[in-house]
Amino acid sequence: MKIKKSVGDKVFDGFNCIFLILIALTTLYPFVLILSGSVSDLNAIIRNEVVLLPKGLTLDGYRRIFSDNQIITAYGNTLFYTIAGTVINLVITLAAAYPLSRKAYRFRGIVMFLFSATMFFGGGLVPFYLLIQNLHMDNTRWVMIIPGAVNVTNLVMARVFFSTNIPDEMSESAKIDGANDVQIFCYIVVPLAKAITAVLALYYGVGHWNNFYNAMVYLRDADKMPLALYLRRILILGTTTFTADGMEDAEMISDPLKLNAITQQLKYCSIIVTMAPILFVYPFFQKYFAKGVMVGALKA
Amino acid sequence: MRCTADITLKRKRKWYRFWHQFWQDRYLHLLVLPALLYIVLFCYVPMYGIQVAFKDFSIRKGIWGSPWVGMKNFESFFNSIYFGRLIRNTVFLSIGSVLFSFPIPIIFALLLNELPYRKMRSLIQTVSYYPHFVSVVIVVGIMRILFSPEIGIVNMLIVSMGGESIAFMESARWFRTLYFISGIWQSFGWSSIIYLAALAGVSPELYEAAQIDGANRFQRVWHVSLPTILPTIVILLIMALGGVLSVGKDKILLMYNPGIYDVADVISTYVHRKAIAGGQFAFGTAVDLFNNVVNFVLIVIVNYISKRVTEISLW
Repeated sequence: MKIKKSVGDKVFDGFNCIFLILIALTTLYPFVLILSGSVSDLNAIIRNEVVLLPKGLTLDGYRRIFSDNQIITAYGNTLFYTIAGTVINLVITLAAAYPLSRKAYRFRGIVMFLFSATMFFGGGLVPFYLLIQNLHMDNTRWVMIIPGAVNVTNLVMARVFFSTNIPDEMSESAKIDGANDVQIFCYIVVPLAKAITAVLALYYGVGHWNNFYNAMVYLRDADKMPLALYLRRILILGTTTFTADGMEDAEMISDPLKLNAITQQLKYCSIIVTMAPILFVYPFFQKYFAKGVMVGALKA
Repeated sequence: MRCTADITLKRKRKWYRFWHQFWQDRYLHLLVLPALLYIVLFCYVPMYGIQVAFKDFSIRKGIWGSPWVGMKNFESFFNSIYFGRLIRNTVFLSIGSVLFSFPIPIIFALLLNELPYRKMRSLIQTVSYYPHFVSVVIVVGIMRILFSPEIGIVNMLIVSMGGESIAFMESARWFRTLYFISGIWQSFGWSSIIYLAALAGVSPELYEAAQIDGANRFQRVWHVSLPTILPTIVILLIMALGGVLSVGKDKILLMYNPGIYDVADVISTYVHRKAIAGGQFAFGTAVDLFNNVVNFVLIVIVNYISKRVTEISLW
């Protein structure tokens, strides 16, 4: 049965719709502005004319930024940290979540307690720092990959996903057929865990991609720097390196206004270049949200 | 004699059963093991390091070899001129975040749930998640651009309306506002997911029944939608209130400068500056431990109250 909407309802729908669209546009605005600035003409940037859409069209900013070897190195590092880190995260988290979702696993209570307790109490920043020193992970690539290998919230989410999507009977019948738990996990559970794997990959992946604190504290060598630190130097500390590259002719650099605008555009471009991969892959993961996040979030 | 023999036999059987079960689950243990090792190494081993808080620590002597000094590190923190300022800033920023960042996702989810157009709903949802995936470095970077006195769009607006441009990022008066606004921008969409998930589970018949009974739009939201997400709201509120003394350091580390420490410096950034950047490890550990203990006590208290009042609890 469909009930007809009253006039009041329709008016409300209209206002609600407009309001939500405005919110979405406001949320997007900073991105649009940065994107426009990154492709706008330098003179428009000097005159401060870019407020929404690009003025003129040039890819000089991107050309400049990719002529900088440091950003290429940083990009490669971040890619490596993200991919290696996420793979380790996924293997460890999924493997642990499966037994913890089985009613037949008699030790799941105590193991789960060991995991959950860490959500409420931890050693803190300094003991963690000392541990990293003692493990000799300081200033190595490992420090970007290994710590943070298991996130308990994500583990709980995966556990809930398994207990709702993979019935205990399924594991039991596989066991009667002679499979052991590791085999069940590899051949039955993992193929059924696409949704949760996608969601966890996104969570962990974004975490690695954006991680800047560990890099700031533990990494010193320039060749190990991730993108986030490169960005910090450009955006927050305001130091740019492009003048040293000698790409530009002297006449251009000697004009302070132009130099300013170039620096400005460099910031825009570096933001876009860093953000693009995540905004690009995100829609592909989104369809799994309903299955993965919703299930996990509700029951966890 | 027979009695003791019986008991030892029983004990033996118990042990035998335990090991039998343990052995039967061996493949499951194998699967859990990597995660367990990780959590022991990176979460429980650092707890051993907490003793540094009660020691006169030097890296050369190590955690075990450094001499005990009792509560000295804590005393110097409590007596420090920064103690009051740190507590005040931490509490202000986290209470403010709860006040602003907590209701907005709820309202957003309720409004979005009322939107009849499915396609538009999912589009708006997608857009609202984006900021969550943006690195905090970029968030602060964008803020510096938007609020810059020379080129910032905000100051251009102010000037065009006859005002004077403001150096927002260097201003102690504006720090909290910027912190809250950027926080809302980062999190409102993402935090609404959990509410939207709960709302999606409500059967449409419930709304129709309410409508037949004469409930208007607002009443339907109030009496059908809201009760559905209430348990979620309470749980998240417990977590938020329990974390009143834990304010993340990353964003503030990128936002602040010595000129605005007076409003921006919180416990976690102070620990970072003193210990990690400044090398006062024992002192930093003590401050951190104090922070952790207070947080833990707070969450236990809030959870207890919630259990009493609403029968919802974390454990």
